[in-house]
Amino acid sequence: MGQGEDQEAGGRRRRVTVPADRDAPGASSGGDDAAVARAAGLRVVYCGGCNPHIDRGALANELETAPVFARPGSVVYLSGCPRACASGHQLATDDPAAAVVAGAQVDGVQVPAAQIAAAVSAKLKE
Amino acid sequence: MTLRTPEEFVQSIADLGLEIYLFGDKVDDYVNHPIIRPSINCIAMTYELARLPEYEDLMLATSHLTGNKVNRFTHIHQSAGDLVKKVKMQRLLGQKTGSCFQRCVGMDAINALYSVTWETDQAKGTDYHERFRKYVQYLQDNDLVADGAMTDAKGDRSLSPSQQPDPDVYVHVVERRDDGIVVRGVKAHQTGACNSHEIVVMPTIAMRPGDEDFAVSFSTPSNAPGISYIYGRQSCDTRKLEESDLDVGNMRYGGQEALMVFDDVFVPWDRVYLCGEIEFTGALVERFAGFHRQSYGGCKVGVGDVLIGAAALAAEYNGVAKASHVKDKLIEMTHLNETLFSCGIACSAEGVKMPSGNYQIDMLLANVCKQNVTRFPYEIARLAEDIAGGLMVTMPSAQDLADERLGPIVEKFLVGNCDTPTIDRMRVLRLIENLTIGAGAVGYRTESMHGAGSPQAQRIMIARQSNMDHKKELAKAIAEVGRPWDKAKIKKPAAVADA
Repeated sequence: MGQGEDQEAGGRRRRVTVPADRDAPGASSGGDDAAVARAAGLRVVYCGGCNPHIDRGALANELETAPVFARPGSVVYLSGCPRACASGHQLATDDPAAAVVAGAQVDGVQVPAAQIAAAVSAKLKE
Repeated sequence: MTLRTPEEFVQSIADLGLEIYLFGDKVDDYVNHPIIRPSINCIAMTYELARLPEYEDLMLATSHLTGNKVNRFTHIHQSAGDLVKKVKMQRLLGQKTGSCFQRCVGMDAINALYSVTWETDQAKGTDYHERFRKYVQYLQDNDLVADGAMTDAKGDRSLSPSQQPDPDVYVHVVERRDDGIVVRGVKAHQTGACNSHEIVVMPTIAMRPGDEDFAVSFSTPSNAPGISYIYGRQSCDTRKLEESDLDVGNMRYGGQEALMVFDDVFVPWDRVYLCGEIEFTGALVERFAGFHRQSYGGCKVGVGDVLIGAAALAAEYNGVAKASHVKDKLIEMTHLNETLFSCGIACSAEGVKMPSGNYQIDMLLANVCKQNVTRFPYEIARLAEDIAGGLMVTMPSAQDLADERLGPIVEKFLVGNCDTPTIDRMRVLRLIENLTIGAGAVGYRTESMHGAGSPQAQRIMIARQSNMDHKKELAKAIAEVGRPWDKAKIKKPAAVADA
């Protein structure tokens, strides 16, 4: 999947998805496409999905409808299991505009599955 | 950079003046005791290889604390590559010693404590992590051996630590003072304890409310007042007293375990890393066990390499190396050994960076690794015994071979392949005996079963992380479970209908 392909209008935040190998916490910006993506709103970087402990698609949808992110260009590195492939095998990030989900962990802290979206929102809110 | 020589290491252990008991007596010159010395030689090998350029890539690492090159056994893993190199280093040392080389437990302890102290501080506002970083740097700067001490005596397993009739069966705090704590109890099965400069103590189980005094982690010099060691026996250990270089099988190297006694030992606060925070004990136990289960995917594989080599030599010396069933058994042994290695590498390659900054192995794969280790060395040992033949347990002694009258008889009738001296055939058979049922079997077999946790402990962890719901959903999707079924559409295959 590429960046910037979700072009929904009507005030709804746009979700832009990229494969894990295109980005990781601390990695340099991906160039023009990435800049467009950050301007667009929440960006989700998925792992490959070989062994998901959580429903990544459902979580991404839930994040779309979560309270508005105050911080523009927020990124969620969304891995289905604790191996954290989406974030380059890092369980946490110091970037205040990014959150790492790895199975039922958010930035390295175990969270009940039903509260993952809320924990991510809390991290990304200013 | 301070990297000690093997000789400096041995002298430093002698200088500690440890209180060690063996066969009921205190052993003063323990570094030269024939039963103890082989285990000291094993750790000395971790110093020797670290000074050789051809092994530097595995044996040394760059400290994230100082930027200095340090012995990898004192390193906090900074990448998945570090985790992989750890396993390869352990395989190398298993190959060089044919034995448990004992320095892994301390390495695994400091790596587990590194992240747990960080997380405890985040939650509790304590300063354990900073203390611990200073301690790790102390180990690195002085190239010290730390023993990781986890397993308590445990008493009645159906009771929690605080419910035990005798609380001393778990190491616990008996006094809190302004300048530190006083601890009492024992740690059992302590591999390499009498070869260590330092002891790193951790709780043995996840503690519950009421067990706060038992939720304690600290480090202490191994010669601190109040600490003593009762040396553990090993199968055939007194052969080492016979001054024979033949019948022990592995005369230079061996393992070591001891019962470590803490008789009201004082620990200053700057060496305390957990004290009453019961909610972090479970993570500490799991992470230490995880690292140690990874370790077995390296060290036991290295020893396995030696045993497979010995079996292949025995086949050659017996004159059966070309027999197809022997070749097939050697293939099977290699397959099993490399499967163990694969798991050790896999759980390392899938390691993750913790919020504390260090890397941790993949827990599921590390437990799978250790579960295999509880089985495969037994099969490798069985096949080695099969290839070796019964002579490995019926051979006359070294004294018979050396005897003026009996020696020629032994020499004449125990010869196999005529190109091989009888003494060499006997040496290889004794090595196989050592690793399968002798002193080396403590490390290669029973330690493979129970070290880093008994098999059931791994099965619990595997069950916890198996992600079974996902597997069931996969099966449901393929089998189309839940899809409405219209039996009216069911028709007989054409061939059947025509018939």
